[in-house]
Amino acid sequence: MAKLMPKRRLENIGLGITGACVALVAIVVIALIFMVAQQGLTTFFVDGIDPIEFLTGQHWIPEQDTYGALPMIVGSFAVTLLSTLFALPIAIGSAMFVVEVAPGFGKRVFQPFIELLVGIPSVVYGVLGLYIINSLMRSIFGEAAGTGAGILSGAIVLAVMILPTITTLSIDALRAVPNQYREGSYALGCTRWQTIWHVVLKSALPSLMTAVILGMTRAFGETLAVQMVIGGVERSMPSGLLDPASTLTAALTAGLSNATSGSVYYHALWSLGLILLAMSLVFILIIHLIGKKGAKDNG
Amino acid sequence: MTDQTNSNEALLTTRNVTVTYDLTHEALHPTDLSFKGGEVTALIGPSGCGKSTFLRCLNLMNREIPKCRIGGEIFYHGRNINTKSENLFELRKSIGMVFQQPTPFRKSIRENILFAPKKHGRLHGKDDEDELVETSLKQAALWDEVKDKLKQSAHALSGGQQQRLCIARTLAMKPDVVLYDEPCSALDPISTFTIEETIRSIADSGAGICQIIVTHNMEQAGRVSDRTAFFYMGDMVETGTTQQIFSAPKDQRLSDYLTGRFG
Repeated sequence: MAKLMPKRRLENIGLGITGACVALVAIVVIALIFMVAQQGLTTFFVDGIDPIEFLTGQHWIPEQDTYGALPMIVGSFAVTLLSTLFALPIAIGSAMFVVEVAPGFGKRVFQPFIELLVGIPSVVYGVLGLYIINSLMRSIFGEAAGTGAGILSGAIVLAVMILPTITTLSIDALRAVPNQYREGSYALGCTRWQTIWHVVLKSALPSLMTAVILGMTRAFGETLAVQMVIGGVERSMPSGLLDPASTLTAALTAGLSNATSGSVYYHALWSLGLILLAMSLVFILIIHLIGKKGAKDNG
Repeated sequence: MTDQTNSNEALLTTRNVTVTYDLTHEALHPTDLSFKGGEVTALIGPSGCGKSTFLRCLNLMNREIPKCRIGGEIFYHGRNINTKSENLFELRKSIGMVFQQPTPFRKSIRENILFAPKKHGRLHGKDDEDELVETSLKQAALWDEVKDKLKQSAHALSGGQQQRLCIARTLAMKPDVVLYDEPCSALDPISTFTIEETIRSIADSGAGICQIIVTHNMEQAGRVSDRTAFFYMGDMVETGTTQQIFSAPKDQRLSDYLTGRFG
């Protein structure tokens, strides 16, 4: 029979294991930031490209050593904002229905249904977008849409992809509003709609904002599906929503196969990665700020 | 509107009112009670006796709970309100309710008062609003404490102040019935005392407002109410003037409850 371990030793082992887990995560995160920063900054400090020009340059033509990331930055922001704009009203609307109008249906049918959408691999969205959205664009806008690939197509595909994220989080946000708030409003003779609009949504606002930002983070970082439908043109600025364009993530993936490691082009791609990293840090910072403010408002 | 001139007539009367949860479980057996303007009635009894359930019938708040059914008749100004066609929202403008947990909205103190009257299109201009905020807060004995910070968030107030704000918010709708569902059970003794004083002063103000308070605190019932009704296991067991209920209970269950044998 094995001898029982003394309690003190067991405590220390537990402390050691959990501490090691934390240390490992911290090391991975720091190493990641360090690596991306080191490679990404080489472009500016070693290869001598002006960082301002890199961020504001309107042409990305590696063969001519022209590295302006603005077309991709604009592309990324355009698809992110547009897709959020498309997805948000639908997400909030269905969250209101599920929480306020038909809670039973919401729990049993709608939520499992919408969570199914999260599990679908992004390449499937890409293929569907390529065949459905792009041809839809062609049949609606005709010549102006070209092949159908463009910012608008990318945004629509992304909207479908981030819809479950925003919807699920919005449902949680509305559900977290204490029932007493609703009853308090009903007790004053307010209608259901007045209650939802002025009391429930207002109380849930910080959590709803977090839902939106998380959706935007997902849209900003999504690569494959967007790459398949947006057209992949990073040479120059898109002039409209129907123009083929590219995003930071799409350009990065597309470029890596062509760039020889150590070249200026290679470093410039790392710089795109650095911009992505910085943006996700900004998104996370915003979420924390909203959370802090929400906690303060709730006393 | 003849009821208001004749104070002897009941403002609110229930006849055979029952409540069924989940379509099968009758939580409240047929209950007949009537309430007059200007009076404070306390509903007492052990937890789960049906007193809150009964209270939530009076403004049809139970209708907001899925699978909950109110039976019987509830006469308000002589008209049965427990009908399918009753406009709940219109009704609740004149039958206000204050809950166990203070529930100020995430708005300023001023906006908490003005929210409902504004939504119902009752206010015309800033003077109107200022006046309503002041009179409501004065009625709820909160004016002196908050008059310099009306624009601040209501969530910054203490629990007792929040509860008085909820009373002020209810009074701003100019109701003739106010229902209180254990309004002090989340509050400390001093706040409790202030709320009781507020309820008493509303009753004595001559505004003719009918107040009904659910409480598990018998001392509180003794302090604030004119009449008392005792509930036990879903039955309304005994009702009478508060003095009679406490000094000469007729039912054995009531005297057991009052002497602390259960509850």
